[in-house]
Amino acid sequence: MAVSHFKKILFKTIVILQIAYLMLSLFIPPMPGWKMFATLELTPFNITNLNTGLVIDANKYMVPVYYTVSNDHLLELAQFICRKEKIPVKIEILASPKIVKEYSKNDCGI
Amino acid sequence: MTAVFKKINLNYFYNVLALAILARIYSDIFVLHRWQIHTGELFPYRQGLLFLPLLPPVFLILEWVTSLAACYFLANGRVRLGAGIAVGSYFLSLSQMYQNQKVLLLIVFATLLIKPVTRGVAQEYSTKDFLKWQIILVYFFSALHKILGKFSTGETLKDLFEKVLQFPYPITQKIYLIAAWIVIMVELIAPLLLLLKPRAGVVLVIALHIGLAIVMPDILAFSLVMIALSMLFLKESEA
Repeated sequence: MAVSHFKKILFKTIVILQIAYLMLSLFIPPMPGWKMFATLELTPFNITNLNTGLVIDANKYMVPVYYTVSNDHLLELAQFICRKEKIPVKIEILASPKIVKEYSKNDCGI
Repeated sequence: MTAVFKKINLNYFYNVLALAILARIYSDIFVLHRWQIHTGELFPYRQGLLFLPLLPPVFLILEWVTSLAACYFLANGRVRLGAGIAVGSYFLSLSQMYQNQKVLLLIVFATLLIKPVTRGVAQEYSTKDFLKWQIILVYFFSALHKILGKFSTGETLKDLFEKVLQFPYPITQKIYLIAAWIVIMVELIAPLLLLLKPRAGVVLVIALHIGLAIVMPDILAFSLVMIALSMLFLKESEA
């Protein structure tokens, strides 16, 4: 009986803490919360092979379905392609302001 | 007869949860291509929590095998064992790829590990109440995030249909805006309906989540967990 009572108190406490946490997550964007599809971050971008000057089809390196990709993610994606294909790449994130970054083989740790 | 219905009620709840586990494995393999992420072919999208590095593919096999074991035990009435294995499996999974639906699964299975939902004994209601709170919180805060975020302008649905799902037919901005507010209203109404008119609430939840799962198969597991949780609002003789 005592254990059951303890569990009831535990569950109630967790719900109160959850509500407090979820209230905070409403106003602090990086905090995970129940934000399903509240905002999609799909900034257009180009990744170019600096050896050939050709634009790389970055979708080949991404999971088939994704809803949100931050600028940090896109920079990491460019490094991933650089490392995997062993080529220098340039990424242009067409946000405002525009972000352009180049990764040489050294930058990718090759 | 009533006893049979009581039994059916909880069996439905646990079986739908077991299906959610299977849906997660399906989504990992066929929708998210997680195997290719762990072999280095694909970019590790959505890094995990706990700041663990991306583990070798053998850990993904471990995650799936433990998930299957959890599914088996849940469907066969060994709830605590199944829930315990599921908690381990989803901790491992969250350390590799963060997804809200996995957090919800983790919360549900951790709760069932502490105290499974059993047939209509008054002292067991604490687990049921806690799980009912979870679906209320998910809907309520999801609606609030949508109201405060870009979703309420219709922009998010436009991006979802045009950029992610590549819907081939043109839809006007006004329709996106109306659809966005319908989704928000449904999320706000669903918890109230579950509390006041449980049967209608469950029908609404099932309709909403089957629709969502058809459009976005990667959230099928989330849909199934929400449907399972909604069933807890039914009186045991109604299922």
